[in-house]
Formats: sequence, C-alpha cells, structure tokens
Amino acid sequence: MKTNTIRFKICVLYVAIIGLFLIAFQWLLYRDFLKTQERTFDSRLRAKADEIRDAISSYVGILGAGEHNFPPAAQRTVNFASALPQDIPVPTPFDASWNRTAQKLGLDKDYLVILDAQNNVLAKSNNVNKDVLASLRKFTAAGNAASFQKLSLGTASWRVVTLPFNYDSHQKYKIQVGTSYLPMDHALRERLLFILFGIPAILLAASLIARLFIARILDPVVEISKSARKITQENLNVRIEPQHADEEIKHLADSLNDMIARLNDAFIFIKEFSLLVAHELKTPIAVVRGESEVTLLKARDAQEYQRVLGIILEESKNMLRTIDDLLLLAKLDYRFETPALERMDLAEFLREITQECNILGSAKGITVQGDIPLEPIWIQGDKVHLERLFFNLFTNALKFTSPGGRVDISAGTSGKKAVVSVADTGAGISPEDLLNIFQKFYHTRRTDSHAAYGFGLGLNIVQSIVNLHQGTISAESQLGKGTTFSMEFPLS
Amino acid sequence: MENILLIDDEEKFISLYDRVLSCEGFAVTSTNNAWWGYEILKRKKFDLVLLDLRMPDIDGVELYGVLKLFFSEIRVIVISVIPVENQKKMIPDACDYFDKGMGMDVLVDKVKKALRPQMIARGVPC
Repeated sequence: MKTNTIRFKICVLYVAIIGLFLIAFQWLLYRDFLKTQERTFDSRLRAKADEIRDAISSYVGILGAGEHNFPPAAQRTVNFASALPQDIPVPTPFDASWNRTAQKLGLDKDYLVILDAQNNVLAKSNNVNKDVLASLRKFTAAGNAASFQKLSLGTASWRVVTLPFNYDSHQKYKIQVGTSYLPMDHALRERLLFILFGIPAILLAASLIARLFIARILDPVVEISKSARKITQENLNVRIEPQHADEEIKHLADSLNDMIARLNDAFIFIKEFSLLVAHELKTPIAVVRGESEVTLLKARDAQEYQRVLGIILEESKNMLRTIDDLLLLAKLDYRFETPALERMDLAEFLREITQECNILGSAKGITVQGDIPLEPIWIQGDKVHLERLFFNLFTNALKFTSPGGRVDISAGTSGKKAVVSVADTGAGISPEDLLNIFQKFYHTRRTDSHAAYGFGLGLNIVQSIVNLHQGTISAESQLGKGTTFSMEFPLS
Repeated sequence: MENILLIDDEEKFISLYDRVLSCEGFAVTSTNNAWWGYEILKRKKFDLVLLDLRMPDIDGVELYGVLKLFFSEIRVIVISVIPVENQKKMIPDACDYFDKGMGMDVLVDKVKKALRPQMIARGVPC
C-alpha cells in the first residue's frame, strides 16, 4: 500500500483512532479489574486474619481465660497442622475443625505471625524464616483497622494483612497473614496478555475491514480518474458516470461533467472561431494578393492602378472591421458567465442614444428622431453592451440610408415587455437576405454601392447582445422603402 | 479554346479569376450561385469547373455531389480559402485543389494542367 494515498491515510487514521480509544478503554477496564481483584484478594486475606483471630479466641476459650493462655492458643492456631506441643491438652473437636478450616483457607501456604504489643513474636508458622519475619515486623497497623502491605521476597511477592487484635481490652496483639500474590499476578498477567495481543488483533481486523470499506467508497474516484483520462481535446463527449457512488462523489462527478461540457463548448467555439477568423481574414487578403499580382505582371495605366489601389484600401478596411468585430464576438460569445445586468431606465438610455445618433447622422444629412415616453421603462441591462447594440443598428441604418433619409428610434411597453424599434428609410433588404442577416458574415448579393460592405458581424453581435438580455429581435423590410428592427426585453 | 465554368459567391473573386483566365486564353463563364451553375452546365459543355466550397444556400460540397451524379466525367478544381488538406477532406476525389491564398500563377498552372490532354493520357487523375 502506497503511503501518500488517501486510502492509507484514512486507514491509518481510522486504526489510530480506534487504537487510542481501545487502549484508553482497556486501560480503564484493567484499572477497574485490578482494583476489584485487589479488593477481593484483600477481603479474602482479611477473612483469613479474622478466622485466625476467631480461632485464637476459641482456643483461649477452650484452654481457659487468662493472658497466659494466649500464647499457646496463638501457637496452636498458627501451627494447626503440626503435632501438639506438650503443654497443650488433648486435641479437641475444635482442633480438627480448625485444621479443616485452615486447610480450606490454604493457611498452610501462608505466612502466619502473631505479635504482641511490643512486637515480640508469640507464634509463627513454620515457613516464616528470619528474613520474612524481619520484614513482617516492620508492618504496622494504625488504630484498630487492618492494614495491607506488599512484601517482596526475591522474585515472589506477597500480600500481608496486619490485623490488630485486642484481647481483654488491654492487650494489643497483631495477627499477620501473608499470602502469595502469585494468583493475583497470574490473573493480572493473563488480563494484560489478553489486552496486549487482543488490541493489535482487533486493530488488524479493523484495518482490513477499513480497507474494504475505503475501497468501496474510493473506487468511484478511481473510475472517475479512468474516465477523465479518456477525455482529450478530440474526445470531450465522454461523461463520467461512476457506479455505486456516494452522494459526495456523485456531486463531484456531476461538477466534472458540467466542466467538461463547458470545456467542450469552449473548444468548439475556439475551433469554429479560428476557422471563421482564417476564412474571413483570408478572403480579403486573397483578393489583395490576386489583384496586386495580376496588376504587377505588366505596366498598367493610372486608372487601372487606381482601381487596384482602391480595392486594396477597401479590403484593408474590411479586414480591420472584421478584426474588431471578431474580437467583440469573442468577448460576447465566450461569456459563459452572466453579464453585468443591472436595473436601468431604458427610456432615459434611448433618449441619450438618440441624441448621439443625431450628431452622427447629421454629418451624413440623415435625421434621427426619437419617440420615447417620459415615464421610465425599467429593464435589467448592461449599458455598455446596449450601447454597442444600438450603435451597430444605427451604423447599419446609416450605411443603407441615403442623405435626406430618416432613422426613427421608438420605445414603449407591451404587457410585461419593453418594446424598442429602429427604423430607417434606406435601401431595404430583400426577403431572402432577411432570413440570413443575423448570421455571421452573411454577405448580401447586392452589387450596388450601398451593399459594398455586406453585413459582416454587426447584426450577429446585435443578436448576441439581445440574447444576453433575454430579449428577442426581428427585422422587417421593403426594398427601396426601408428596414425596421424590432426588439423586446423583459421588464424589470 | 477551352471552356471554364467559374462558380463562386464572391464577386471580387469572379472578377479577378475571370480576368486572369481570360487573359490566358480560356473562355470563362461565371456565376455567383450554385444552382445557376448547375443549370448552365445542363445547357452547355464545359471542360473544367472551378467550384467554390463555401456558398450560401447550396454549398460547393452539395453541388459537387450533384455534378458527379449527372456529369460524371466533369473535371472540377475545388477553390476556397480553406486549406487544401481540409478541402480534400470535404471533397476527396476532385481533380485538383486551389487555396485562394496562393498566387494567380498557381491557379493558372493548375487550370492548364487540368486541361492538358497529355496529362490525361499519362493517367494523372482528371
């Protein structure tokens, strides 16, 4: 498994988190277990000390009350399995019973010591040697409460209870029982081993399960990468459809598909645009080259040179116009984001446009009149683009209208729409041309001087701008009478 | 004198090519409409057709298909501002291809090649 992958990182994180919680939980459980075990152990140990105390009391009772009987009672209690000393009377039924009890309690394996108030040994079991005794005598108990201590002897550890024993309310004795901690050690070690082996095993199992789940979740991502690799400039029709994907991955796939679609549109646009540019600029250049080549083949008269130079100038202007229009078209068509529309008063705007057009028109002897209501007409518009729209329409009208002609700009509302029209009294457009005038570079077949420039990109740009404003545009015309462009925009 | 039919929607090219080819001694008939070109071909025999590709209404590719159907022996040189390799993709089996950006000498050369019988006898496609 590679280490710089999401799979690896999630797996490690998952296992680490589980591991941490597991360790913490197990530690708490172990601590609890330890406390419980200690409590149980100590209470059993205490019970032994209590039994010994009771046995001593019973022996004293049998031997007869009196302090002098205490040591033998203690000795008998402690050395229950041994032969009776000489100064002890014949065995009693209690003796056998205590023997049994002591065996049952496992006292034969324990250290048993009885001390007096001065810490002198009154009785001790046979297994208590000098070193053990020395250690036991150090243990004290406060007040009347039993106290517990740990005794380490070499590698073995023992748990010792020291139980104060008041005999006759005056004499303070101490009963000490030391029992091997081995069972406890075993239990704790077992528990620890279980934890030490258990946790890694659980984590291993968890990591394997995690890998399965992660694979299931991330497989769609691999599918997405595979699909994405198939996508090339020539092959932008591929769409990503991951199988069994979760919501987030589906969302990612959808976003990628949208992006691919946008890229596809952009590439198509760029391709078509490049072809368009090549075609539209190459045409005038081909004309210039052809005419120049032919003219230079031999000496020509001045008129011929003037004709050719006129063509060259004409085509140069055409090319510059085409380049300007193409740049604007690129800007407009390529705008996949929404334009900067804001609420504006179309009536006020058109009044300004009419004034400007009047100034332009007067140079050619064409009057421009506006029929625009005083009340505002509110639309969502981009002023810069609308200026371009009306400029293009107006220059068109200007091109095709002779001096003395008119251009009328009118506006109004109709239902939920703003209605604008630009009408000229120019040469008009033939019905067949009318169908195609909004196409890019549609060139009219007219051979008269009015149609010297053709329609180029101007009206195509007008339509693009109208579309940007969610509007519609149509044209009506009569040859020799004039043309009217009508537009509708939704009111704001 | 060989007859050449020139079909191109741009008047500027018609005017230029007509002049150049007429100077070279060819009889040139020209039209700016694909449909008219077809009608002219039905009425008169031509040795060569110079066919523009991009024209409104019926474009050069469509007209070429019609010409090959009804005038299978006709020799056609495709002319366009589109590069020659793209012209070949659009019409793979034309006699020759002319990029309008090339010089007039190239056009005259191609026309002469297309109309020379020796070239035909040697098996040069046309």
